[in-house]
Amino acid sequence: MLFNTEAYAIFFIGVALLFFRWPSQYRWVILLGASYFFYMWWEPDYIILILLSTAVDYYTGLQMGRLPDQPSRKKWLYLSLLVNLGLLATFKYFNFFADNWNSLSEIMGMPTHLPYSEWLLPVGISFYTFQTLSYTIEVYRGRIKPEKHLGVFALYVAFFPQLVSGPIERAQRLLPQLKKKIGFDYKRVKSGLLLMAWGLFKKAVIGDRLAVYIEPVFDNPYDHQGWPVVIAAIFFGIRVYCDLSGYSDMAIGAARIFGVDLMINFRRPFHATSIRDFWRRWHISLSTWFRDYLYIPLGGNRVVKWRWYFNLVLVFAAVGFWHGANWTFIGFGLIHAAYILIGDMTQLTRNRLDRALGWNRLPRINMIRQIVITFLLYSFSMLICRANNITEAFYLVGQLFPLNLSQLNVPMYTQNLPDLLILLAALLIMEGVHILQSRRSVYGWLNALPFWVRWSIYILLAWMIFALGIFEERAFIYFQF
Amino acid sequence: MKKIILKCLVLAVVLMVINQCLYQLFPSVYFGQPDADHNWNYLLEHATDYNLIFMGSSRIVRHIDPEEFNAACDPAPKIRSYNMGLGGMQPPESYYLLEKILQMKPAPFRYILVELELFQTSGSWENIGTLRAEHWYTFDWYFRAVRLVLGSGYGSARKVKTLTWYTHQWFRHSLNSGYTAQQLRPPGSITFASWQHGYEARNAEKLAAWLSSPPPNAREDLIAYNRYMLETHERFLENPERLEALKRKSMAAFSQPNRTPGKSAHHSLIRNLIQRAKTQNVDLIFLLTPRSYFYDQLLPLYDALPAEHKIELADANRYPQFYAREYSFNVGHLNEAGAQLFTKALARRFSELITPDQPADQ
Repeated sequence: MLFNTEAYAIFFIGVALLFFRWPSQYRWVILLGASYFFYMWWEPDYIILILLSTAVDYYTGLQMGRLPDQPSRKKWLYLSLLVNLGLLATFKYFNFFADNWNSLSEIMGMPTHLPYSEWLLPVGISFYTFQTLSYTIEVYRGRIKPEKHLGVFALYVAFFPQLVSGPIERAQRLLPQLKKKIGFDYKRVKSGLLLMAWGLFKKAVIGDRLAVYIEPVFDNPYDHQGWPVVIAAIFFGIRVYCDLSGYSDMAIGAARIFGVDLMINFRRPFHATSIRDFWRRWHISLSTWFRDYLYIPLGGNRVVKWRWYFNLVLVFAAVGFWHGANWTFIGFGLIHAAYILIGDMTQLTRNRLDRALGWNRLPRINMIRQIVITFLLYSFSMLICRANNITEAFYLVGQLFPLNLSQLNVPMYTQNLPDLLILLAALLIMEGVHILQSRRSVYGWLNALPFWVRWSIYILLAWMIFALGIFEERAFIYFQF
Repeated sequence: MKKIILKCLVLAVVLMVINQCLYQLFPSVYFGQPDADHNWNYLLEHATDYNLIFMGSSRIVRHIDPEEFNAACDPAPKIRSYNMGLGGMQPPESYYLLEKILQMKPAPFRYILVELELFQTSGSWENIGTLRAEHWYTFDWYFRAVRLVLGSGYGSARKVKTLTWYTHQWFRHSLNSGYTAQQLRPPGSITFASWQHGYEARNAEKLAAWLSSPPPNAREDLIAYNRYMLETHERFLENPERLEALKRKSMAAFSQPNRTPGKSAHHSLIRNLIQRAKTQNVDLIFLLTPRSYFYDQLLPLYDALPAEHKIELADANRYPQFYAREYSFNVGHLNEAGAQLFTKALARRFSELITPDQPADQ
C-alpha cells in the first residue's frame, strides 16, 4: 500500500478512527493489526519474515537481559545478527553475490553457475531489519532493558507509518512511546495532518513530475551527452529528496497522530555547505545508525589517520550497499567517502585559497557558493546511483563534458509547458518553506497567520495536491532499498 | 475529534466547490485516453462534415463502418456519418456526451444513433487506472445518475453496488484526483487509431500483425489492451459454445410471449433526451445491438420507446447471422466481415425509418 494512494487514505482514516475509539491500554492491538494488514496488502506471505525477525529479537533480547555482562550476551547478539543479516543477504543480496560470483569465476577460467533466486525483494526489509537490530545491539550494550511485552515489541518492529521506508527508529525512543497512554490532542493531530499533506505535496506534485525529465536519459543513456545528463542528474537528486523526505514527512505526520514522535529524517540537506554537513542533514536516521553501530565501534576518528580513512570508506561503502544490491550504489557510497577524504586532505589549502581570493570577506556569498558546490557534488553522486549498471554509470560520467547548449533537447522540456511551470512553482514553494524552516517553526508561523490567510494556504496546498499531483501508481523510490 | 473531522469536511467541500467552478469554467470533455480524446476532438473540429453520428460502446465502434453505412443508405438524403463509439461507453457516460452534443449551437447533426444500454455498474477493464471512468461525474449528472438507479428495477444489492460505485467516482472527480494535472499534459500518441471516421474493425490477423511489431510510439496500455483483445479471440476459438449460449439467450428474450413495456426512470430520461433533441431538429434513435447479455432487462425499455426512435438488430431469431461463428471476433463482438454485414443491415433499417421528405443536410 503506497502512501499516495486512495487505498492508504481509506486505511489510515479507518485506523485513526478506530484507534481513538478503542480503550487506550489496548490501542497497540489496533496499531499492530493495522501494521500487519498494511504490510500484507503488498505480499501476504512475506509477513513471515517480519514475524521471524520479531520472534528472534524478542527472544534474544529477553535472553540477553538475563545475563550480567556483554561477553555472556554475545552469542545471543550473534544469533540476532545472523538471522536479520541472513534475511537481508538472502532476499536482497543473493542475486548480487551470485551474479558477481558467476562473472568472477568466468574471468578466472573456472566458470560456475550459481542459480538466481526468484524471490521478490521484500518491501522495506532494509528498514525493519536495521530497526530491530538496533534493539538487540542496545540490549547487548545494556543501554536498554529488554521489552517484555511481545505485542508492543512486535509493534516496534512493524509500526506501519515507518515500516517500509523509515525513519529507522531506535528502541530507546520508540518503545516507551508505544506504551504511553495517548489521548486525542487536537494540535498534535492537526500538525500531523499538515505534515502528511506537505510530504504528499513533495512526492506527488514535485517528485513524480520530475520523472518525465529523468527517465528518457537513464532509459537510453547512450543517446545523451552534456546538458541533458547534467539536468537529469540534478533532477534525479531533487526527486530522490522529494520522494524520501516526502515519505518521511508522511510517516512522521501519521505517527504523530497516533501520539508517536518519530525522529526527523531530513533537515534541509540542500542547504548543506559541505558533504560532511550534508550527511548531518540527509537521511539522518540511517546515517546515525551507521555512525552508532558501525563507525564508532570501528574506532571512528579516534584512531590513526589511515585507519580513520579506512573506517570512512568502509562505512560509506556499507551505506551505499544498504541502498541496493548493485555496484552503482556502492559507487555512490564510495564517492561520498572520497568527497569527505579529499575535503579533509585539502582543508588547509582550501582555507588559504579562500582567504587569498577574499571569500572569507563575503560570508553570505561564500555560503551560497559552498551550498551550490555541495549540491552539484551530491547530484554527481546521484548520476552514479541512478545508472542502471556500473558500465552505464561510467559512460554517463564520460558524457558530462563538454557542455554545449546545442545538446539540449528543448522540446523534451517545453513540450508540456504547463507541467514545467507547475514544477518550477512547486520547487519555489518548497524552497520558500525550507528558508522559513531555517528561521522558525513553519507550524508556529502558520498558526500566527490570520484565519483567512491560513485557510487560504491550506486550501491551496490541498488543491495543488489533488489537482496537480501525479497519482499514477508510481512506487516510492526508497521502497526498493 | 469532532472539530478536526468538521474542518476536514469543510476543506473537502471547499475543494469540491473550487473544482466544480473549474469544470464549469473549462467545460471541455476529457477522457484521459488519447484515442478517445482524439475521436471526440476530431468530431468537434469536423462537426459540420457530418450529419449523423453513432454513439455507444465497443458494439458500436467495432460494428459500424461509416463509409459503408453512407454508401448503403438510400441516395437521398445524403448521409455523412461518424462513429463516436468508445469501448465501455454506457449510460450515464453516453448520455452525458449526448447532452454535450445537444448543447452545440447550431446542432450540427441531423441524426444521432445511440446504443440502448443499461447503466454502468462498475468500471470496465479498459478504463481502470484512467480518468475515463470518472470524467462525466459533474454534480448534475451524479444526482441524475443516482435518481436513475433509485428509480430502476434493480434489486437492492445491485442498487447499493451501483450507487457506491457512482459515489466513489463522483467523490474522486469532485476532489479532482489529478484530473487537472493530466488535462494539462499533451495527449499521448495514438497508434491504433480510429481514422476511418471513428470506426475501428476487429480483425484478428491485423491485430496479431500489429502486436508482433507494434509501432515504436505505441503506448504500453494500448499494447496490453490489444493483447488482451487477441486473447479473447483465442479463447473464443477454443470455446465457441459461449456464443451459442448468448444466441439462445437472445432468442429466448425476444420470444417472450408477453413482453410489457417498462416505464422506468431510465425511460423518462430517454424520453426527455428525445424531446430535447427534437427541439433542435435532431432525431435521436436508439439502437439495440446484437450480443448483449441483458436483453431481458433491455427489452422492456426498448418496447416503451416510440417506433420512430428505435432500431433493433439484436434478435437472434431474425438476425442469426449476427451470432454466427464466422462473423465473430469474440463472444461479444463481430469481426470485420460481420461488421460490414451489420452496417449494411443497419443502413437498410435506418433508411426505412427516416421518411424521404426529411432533408439530411442542414
